[in-house]
Amino acid sequence: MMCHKLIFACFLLLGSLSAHAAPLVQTVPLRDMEAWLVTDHSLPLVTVKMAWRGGTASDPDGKAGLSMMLARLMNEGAGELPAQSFQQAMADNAMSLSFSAGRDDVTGTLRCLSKYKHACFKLLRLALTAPRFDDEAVARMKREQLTAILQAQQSPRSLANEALMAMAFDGHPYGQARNGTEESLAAISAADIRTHYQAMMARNNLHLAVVGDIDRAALRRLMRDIFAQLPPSSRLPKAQQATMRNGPISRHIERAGPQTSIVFAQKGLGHKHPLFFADFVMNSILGGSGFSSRLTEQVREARGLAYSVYSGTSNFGQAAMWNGSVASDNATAQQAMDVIRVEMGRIANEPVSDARLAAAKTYLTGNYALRFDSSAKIAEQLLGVQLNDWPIDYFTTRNANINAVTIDDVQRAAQLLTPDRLLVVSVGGTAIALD
Amino acid sequence: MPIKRKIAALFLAFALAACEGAPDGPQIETAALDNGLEIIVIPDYRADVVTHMLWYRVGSADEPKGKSGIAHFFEHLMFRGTQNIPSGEFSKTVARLGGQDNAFTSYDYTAYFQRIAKDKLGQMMQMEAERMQKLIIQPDIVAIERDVILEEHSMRVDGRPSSLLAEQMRKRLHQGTAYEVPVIGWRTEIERLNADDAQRFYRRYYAPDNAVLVVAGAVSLSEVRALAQTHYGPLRPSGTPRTPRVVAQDLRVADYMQPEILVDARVRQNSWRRYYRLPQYQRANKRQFAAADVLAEILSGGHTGRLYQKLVVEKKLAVSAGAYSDSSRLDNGEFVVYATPAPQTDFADLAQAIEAEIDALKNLMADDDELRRAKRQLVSDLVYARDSQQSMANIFGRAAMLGLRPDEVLGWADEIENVSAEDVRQAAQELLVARHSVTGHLTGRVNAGENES
Repeated sequence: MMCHKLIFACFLLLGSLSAHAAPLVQTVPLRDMEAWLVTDHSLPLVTVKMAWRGGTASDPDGKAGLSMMLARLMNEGAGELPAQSFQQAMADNAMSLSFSAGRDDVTGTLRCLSKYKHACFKLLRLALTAPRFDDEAVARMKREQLTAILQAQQSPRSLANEALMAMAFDGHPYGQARNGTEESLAAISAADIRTHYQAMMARNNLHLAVVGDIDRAALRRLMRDIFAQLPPSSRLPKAQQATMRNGPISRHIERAGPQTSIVFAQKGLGHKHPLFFADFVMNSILGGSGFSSRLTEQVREARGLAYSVYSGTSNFGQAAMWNGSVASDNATAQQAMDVIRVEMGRIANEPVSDARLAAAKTYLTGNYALRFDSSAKIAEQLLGVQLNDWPIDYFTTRNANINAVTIDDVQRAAQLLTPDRLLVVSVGGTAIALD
Repeated sequence: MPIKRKIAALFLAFALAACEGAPDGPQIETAALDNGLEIIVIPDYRADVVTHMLWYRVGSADEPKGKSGIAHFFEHLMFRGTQNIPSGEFSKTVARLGGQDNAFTSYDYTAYFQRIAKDKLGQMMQMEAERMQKLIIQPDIVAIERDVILEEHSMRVDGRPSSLLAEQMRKRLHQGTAYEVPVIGWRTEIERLNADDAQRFYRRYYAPDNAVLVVAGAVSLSEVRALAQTHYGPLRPSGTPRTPRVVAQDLRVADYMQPEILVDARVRQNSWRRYYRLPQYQRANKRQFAAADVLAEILSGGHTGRLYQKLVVEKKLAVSAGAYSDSSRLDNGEFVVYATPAPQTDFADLAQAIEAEIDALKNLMADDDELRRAKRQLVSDLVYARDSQQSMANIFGRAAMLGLRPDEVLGWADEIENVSAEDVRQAAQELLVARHSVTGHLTGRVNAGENES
């Protein structure tokens, strides 16, 4: 199926919310833990999202890929149930339980139907408290992960992104591919995975978001029976401070085909920065709002240089990055990148118009409600706000913060853009010059 | 990761149902305007937002010969200006109102949608109605948009060896019928599309009697009908339904024993797939297609399916393996089987092991547990689908494009429940026929495991 435009997942879970569109979020404390809950009985479904701080940035030296292996193995056997029996029990209860490793956290998602929830919760408890890490499953998941490494090498976008992260965070775990390498995978044993599990999956680094056909009392039982069984404290070493490298640096990876895929980045500003919301609005105007963005206007609509072009902020736990991407014909790739840099300069030098700012605000604020129209999405929002260290009133204050941004604020945020000092990676037929 | 749930390739991809355990099924309502526009409303009052979709009964399979890509190209032009909405302003207006919009084109349909606060629904209809009959097609903008689409082609096809292989396989699988041409079109034909082609296509297909309006979200049928009457009601019907297509009755594929092999230096990980051509879906054979869904689930369901069990866990010939039935097409559907071979596995050994699993399903009955598990999973998927108003709008919109009423979609869970082990065995025998298939090998090395050829 062909689409009119490509949708980019926002790295941040920043949406926007018309004041009353956010559902009522409750906090549910139990001992040293707290879960965020939205109860909604209209469908017979429960979604539980859980995340532990850690993630691939906590992979020990020489063992890149360890957190990804842990994530792959968390539903591959637990308690008395070896991998196949565990998977069968999940299928028997029509549930899904899967884990993934980001750079700063490992996230698990459980979805189950109300009528099977007792069995689902039992399996969740087993998975979290008694994972097996059997040799068979470890070997099989290693093969799967190795394949993922190879597959990433055949996608121009992932090739470019990996090279960009390596360039931006040279020497920091953020610079390593999340799946690791063939060599680092070979160095990972079942014992390493178990040790990593024991160190990471604790209570003081746990975040919980629960949505659907479940009330406070039932959630407290779930927390008591399952999450209270985890050790109190994470034993991972403290996350390493990351410093992003300055450009200009341009790296090219030659690849056959008519098109060059380009990613670019520079330091961004983190969400504790006073201009954070101004930056968010600025990015929306520049490159983050699809057809309303200047990059789409100038690169795609006016010149036909690309199908997709994007820019925005990616926040990691230890660093903030501003980044973007475009893919253009080998003959026009340099021109596309030049237009992008001109637009970066223009938004810094010329104040945006009242109308443009107003449109960005109504887009960002009005759009927020669309992130709360299903229980899966609500759970994602509840977890995302926690992982960004935002307070629970974020859901209701965010739109006011966006509306308070002025034309000057936008320009100040834009002046932090450095079109002459970008990190750039191109994959395809054209190397990108930055002078 | 760990669990990769199969993609919505079931027949009617995730139809849904008033199934056991759900308090009530969704209350889908329908209506029609005098000018032929059909209306489907899927109420969901959990959030104050709506998904507004307009589906047209036209897709790439309806394109004139030599004009491949015009359906998708035209879809792009729908964002490029009408009498009252300048080029690019459609999406900007939706965004300014706090919404999102997009569109997509497939073999059999083209759909446009906005997701937005409920109180903006009327304005969305006004804009969508405007571009149904007041589009302005300007040659200079057409030229720019053609470049955009060629970039899209480079990204989705030329830059992705797996897409190139799929195009070549489908060209053989559906030879002589419309599906032999990819939705995005052949590059050399896209390069020659122009404003006249777009104008002809627009006049022929964009009319209320060739469209279905689907609205999901916090609205009732009476609200939707009143707004639709105001905005879509005045539009002129075309009176020309789409031309019936040629559907292959003889499903045989030439040289089916000969795999389609794509050697591309950009490939790092080999992959194997097979497409079986299916008979056209008709009400009379729905039992067979329900059985095909169950069959795919038995072969493929997560890490418990037979392909994963045998190929990945036991024999270690593959790193992943699965199957799905894609019969939600107007013409011939496809049953797809795929696997990622382990590093030392050659394609012939992999194919042999997969065929052994398919043969087992043709010859032996699935056991009761397996059948029950597969059905439970399929029926549960229908409940999960209800969580997303956008999925709901997609399901019923797509069904309407295939001529299926909402109650037929809702009844799909019962069809699944009624599938017997013997139905599954018969479906395997009748649908998974080697001479109706094309096999594909994707590899980066010239001699990688090519024993057959």
